[in-house]
Amino acid sequence: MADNADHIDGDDNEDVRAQQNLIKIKLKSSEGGIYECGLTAAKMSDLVKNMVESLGTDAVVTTEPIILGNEAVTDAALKKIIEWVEFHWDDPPVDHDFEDEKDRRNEELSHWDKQFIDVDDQALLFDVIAAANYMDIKGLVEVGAKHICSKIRGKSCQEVREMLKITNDFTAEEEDAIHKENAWIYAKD
Amino acid sequence: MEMDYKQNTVEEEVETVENDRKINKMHTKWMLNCLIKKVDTDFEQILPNEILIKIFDYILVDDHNRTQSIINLSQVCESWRKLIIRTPMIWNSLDLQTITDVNLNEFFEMMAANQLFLCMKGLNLSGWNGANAERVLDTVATNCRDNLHELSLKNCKNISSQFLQTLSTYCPNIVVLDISSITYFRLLGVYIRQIRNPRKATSHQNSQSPFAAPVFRPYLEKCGNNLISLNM
Repeated sequence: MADNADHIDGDDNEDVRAQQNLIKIKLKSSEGGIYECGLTAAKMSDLVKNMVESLGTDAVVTTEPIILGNEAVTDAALKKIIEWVEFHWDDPPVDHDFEDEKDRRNEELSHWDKQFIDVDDQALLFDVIAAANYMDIKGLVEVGAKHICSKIRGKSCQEVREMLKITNDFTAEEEDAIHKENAWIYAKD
Repeated sequence: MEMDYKQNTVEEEVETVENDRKINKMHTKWMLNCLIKKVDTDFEQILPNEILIKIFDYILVDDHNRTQSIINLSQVCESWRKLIIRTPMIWNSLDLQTITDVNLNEFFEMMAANQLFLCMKGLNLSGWNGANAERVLDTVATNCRDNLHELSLKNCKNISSQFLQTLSTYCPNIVVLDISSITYFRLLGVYIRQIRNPRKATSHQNSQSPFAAPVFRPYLEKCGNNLISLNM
């Protein structure tokens, strides 16, 4: 009986989540742009979730935009973030405190996430990750971190710098010396 | 002939594990020293430190060349180097097996000053000479707060049996211990013999069973329950 009751509760929760996602709230970027987002999806951000809960009634939530003041939350980054949460809002919940960290680290990104995060604009990519971190969207932070990891892994210092568009202040002679010293890195697969 | 071969492999960028190892060994001294030296390149960081640490963590997990990879990351820019030498979590294992008799004082001072031994679970000192291995082990053991789980002292020569005392006092939670092919002395006499007649002393020590050390039994009695793998 108890199991059955739990099961029904679970279904109810899913229904509630689906219904709540029909409620649209407004999120305001640091650049001033205002964008609509489903309530359940927006609550994937712990920051937004706490703000919504502290505001109380849905009526207030749907009229006043929630201001995301961090400079990483640009218009473009916020649009990307809303795209991500609107796709993932009905994912099974992950308990980030107790989930086996190592398993999650080794888990491959889904095809959708890979395409989502593989943006050409490096500045946008960093903004999305930094904004997701500010908004406390753990799943998206993880996608971003894994993507950058896959771009850095196995690369030499110079390749990493180029990838991250870091200007190099070494002189040519210093660079040459370092290249020699780094021979082992270049020989690595 | 051998020189030609080596040059060719570098030029043609032939990638073999064996070659990597040779090159690693050639540059280990530079590698550790560079962690202490400021990196000339730097740039404004967009990603917050906690995300960078997460990224480093993803890169380093299951990396067989973890120590080398940490050093490589540290040389990308000064901000990364600073972050790396201030984050004990990154240093959960340290593989120093390719380094022998290098003056590591500065490196270990930096490690200790930044509490980088705090999270250390694995330490590999394979092939070190005994006195140096013991010195490093003492530093790590007294600073790792029972965290050390894996230790390799494989091929360490002339180590004193005192290290077992260190382990039983500070590292009771070791799960994997490799002390295969170590030679060690417990009597001053053996040490003196070694100085007077190295060949004789070496053969004498090689014949010693690790079980003969008077502290081995107490170590096993105290910490043996935690051991899953003991390679002698």
